[in-house]
Amino acid sequence: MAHSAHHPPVGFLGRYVFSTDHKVIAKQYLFTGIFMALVGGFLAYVIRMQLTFPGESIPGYGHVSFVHYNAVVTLHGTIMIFWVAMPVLLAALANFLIPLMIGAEDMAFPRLNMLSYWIFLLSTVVLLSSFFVPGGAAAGGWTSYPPLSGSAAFSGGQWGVSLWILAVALEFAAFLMGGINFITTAFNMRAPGMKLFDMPIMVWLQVVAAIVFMLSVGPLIAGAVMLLLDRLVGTGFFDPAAGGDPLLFQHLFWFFGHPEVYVVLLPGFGVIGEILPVFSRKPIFGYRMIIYATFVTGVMSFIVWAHHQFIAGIDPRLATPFSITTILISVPIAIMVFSYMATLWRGSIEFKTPMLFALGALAVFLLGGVTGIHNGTPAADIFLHDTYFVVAHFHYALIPPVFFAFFAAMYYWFPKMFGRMLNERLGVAHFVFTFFFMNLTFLPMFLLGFMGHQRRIADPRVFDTLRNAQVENLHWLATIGAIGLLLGQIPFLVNLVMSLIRGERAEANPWRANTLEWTVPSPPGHGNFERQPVVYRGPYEYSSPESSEDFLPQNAAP
Amino acid sequence: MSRKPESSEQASATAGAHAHPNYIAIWSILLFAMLVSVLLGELEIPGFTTTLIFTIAIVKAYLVAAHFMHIKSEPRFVVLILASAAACLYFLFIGLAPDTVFGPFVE
Amino acid sequence: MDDSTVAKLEGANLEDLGIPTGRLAMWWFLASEISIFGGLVCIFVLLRWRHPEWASEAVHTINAAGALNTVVLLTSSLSAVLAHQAAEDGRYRKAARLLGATFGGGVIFLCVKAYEYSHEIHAGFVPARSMFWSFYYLMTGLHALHVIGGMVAMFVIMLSVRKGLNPQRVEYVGIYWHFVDIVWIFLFPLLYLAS
Repeated sequence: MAHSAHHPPVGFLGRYVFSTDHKVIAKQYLFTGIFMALVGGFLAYVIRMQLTFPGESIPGYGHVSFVHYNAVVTLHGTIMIFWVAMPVLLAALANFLIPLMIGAEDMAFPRLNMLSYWIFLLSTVVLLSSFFVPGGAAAGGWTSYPPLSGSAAFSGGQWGVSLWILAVALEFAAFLMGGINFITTAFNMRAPGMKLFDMPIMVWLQVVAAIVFMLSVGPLIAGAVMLLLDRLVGTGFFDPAAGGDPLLFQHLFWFFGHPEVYVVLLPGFGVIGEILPVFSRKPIFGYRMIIYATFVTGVMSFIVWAHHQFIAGIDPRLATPFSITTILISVPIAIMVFSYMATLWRGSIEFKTPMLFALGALAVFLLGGVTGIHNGTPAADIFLHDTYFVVAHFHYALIPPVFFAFFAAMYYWFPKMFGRMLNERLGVAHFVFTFFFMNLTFLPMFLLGFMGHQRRIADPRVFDTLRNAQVENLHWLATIGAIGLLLGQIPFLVNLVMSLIRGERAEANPWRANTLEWTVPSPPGHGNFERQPVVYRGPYEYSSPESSEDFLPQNAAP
Repeated sequence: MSRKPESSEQASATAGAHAHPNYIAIWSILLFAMLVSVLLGELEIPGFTTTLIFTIAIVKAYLVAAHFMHIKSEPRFVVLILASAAACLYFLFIGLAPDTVFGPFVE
Repeated sequence: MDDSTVAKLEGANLEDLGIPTGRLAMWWFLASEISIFGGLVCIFVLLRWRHPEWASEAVHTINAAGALNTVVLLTSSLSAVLAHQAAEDGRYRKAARLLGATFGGGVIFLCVKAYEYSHEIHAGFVPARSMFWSFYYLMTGLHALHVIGGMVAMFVIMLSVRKGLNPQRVEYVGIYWHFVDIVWIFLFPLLYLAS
């Protein structure tokens, strides 16, 4: 908390492990997130192999029983949302970028920040340990609906779900600490001259995401405690036999769960908003409009949740209002997407890897967003609910902000993080593989969904309607796509390791960008700024007539 | 790194000091209000009592928030933060009411 | 009070919004707390509305103990706010003593709560008995955990403010304590009085 008492840490432990430096904490989150992405990716491989070759032994994993399959699906979803999207997009990027972008020496509460990471790491260990307990990991779906999650009889052993709840609760605590840090830092630590509307879009969107997270997670924390008591103490909050209501948990879950979609979406959009102007050499289109649209999205994300429950037995009178709000929320998101597209208009576009991933994210997200309309319409959702159409929809909606935007951010900010450039050729290969195989994996799933293929079933052949060559072929395609998608990450990992060791040294501002993080050396030293920067203008003054160069840094004196 | 020395001087005039009301008086009112609500709870006049008890609770919460937590002298921004949390709960309440109070709708 | 004290109170950084960073963080923290307790209260109120028959269970809560605990918490809030005033005046030892009184209030509160729990459990009102008792233990238990958390923080701050270190934290922990008090102000009628 005391900013003045900041000395550069000494020793390996002080510098890299028990560090309060926001840049080190960001990297800790980053590498933990990448590790968990590999775990989640491996589980995706198991899911795809099981669906294509049901009952056969999977290379590298072994035979998958039906209960075990449920655990694999549950952990895949949980890990990808809570242990990849959240730490990488929110924690890693916000930690690294917010202080650098607003000209602060560190976060407002560096020690709280460190605590946040260590609690997160503990939650990771708890979650991974649940694979090895008697009865296996949680198998109630990433949503953990009771009664599936309410008693050991329905979802594997007694330990799995309880550990799952504990891990998620620890993770929420970590991100609440992180969120408070992000918000107070952005509000109170800005460099002199930087008004709220001089903050880069990335900072704005991270702050809104943190606020949405903080305000939506409370009821689910209460719900998680109730679920845990149901399991451990024998209360009946969600048990109909004891007068409880399982539907209540669904409400509590999605009251958080849907805002959560925007919590991971907004930082991803922030990344795109930073990259497009730099590689179009143009000011971003509609800076304020994008931020206002973010506010509207944040508020509206609280009133759409029941569209996840149209066929769960909710009051039918709820369906229409929630359907209307669901379709309305696409308006502010569309404003953001169109503003981004308009940024490209007549720009001098450079197709560097970060730009490729940013554009790829927009293109793929469009399909995810549009299919949301189908799911948000009760009449269509009655058929599509819990089919592979939904699976395809949310992968199309979340892979762009989580993975594409994350890759874009890595290629863009890697030089600032580690002081070396990533290899451009490997980067382009990575993009081509990722883009192609991502579509190959998930496009067939839309068709599977239309054919009535349910999600979360371990063996489609059990059902007469799914026992045909068409379903098999589509599963084949999706599996080839998934394996390709996973193998397509090898260039990225190779690039990461190779560039860390002997990549080209990065200068302070390799992309000729305006924001404050590019005014310090790559990587920045402890305390970030040698002299307090003073800000004179907004972050997107590209091709300004005031400057002889085509960019005008925020801190360049007029 | 010490920054913005001019603003911390300003702050010493404004942000630091709270006006301190008579805390003992407010505490006495709070205790009295509690006594009234306990007595009302014993009386059990249907309908009326519950409304009154919760009105008293809201008044008590207001007194603590306004005077002990000094929300009255905080910038309006603080009220906005807390009100936004309450507003989200309002959405939750409205969305939950049909199912929890009148549901579940099973055919 | 003199300027040097205030500068000490406010810490190093001041900002655009006119709130010291620590206090701003506390308000955001309380916003997230509001959504936890508020969410629970929403659920409880709705279910209680649906099930008027819970009243027959609710009469078994011990009103006198709840009322006593309300007095204890209100009084400990008073000493917390007086500690804040003393810290602003630069009277750190007095502030520490008053925080100690608040801490003592927390101890009394927990003792009364423990008496209630043991009494109720002996009488057969265990958490799994009915939905009302499940909610009773959930809400008061979560509240008691917050009391304990506040007491831990208060103890640490009491030790440091005695030496004049970080006196602004007296106010922050006070704000948190008042919030815990407000939660109780609502739990008391919800769980004890309304029947």
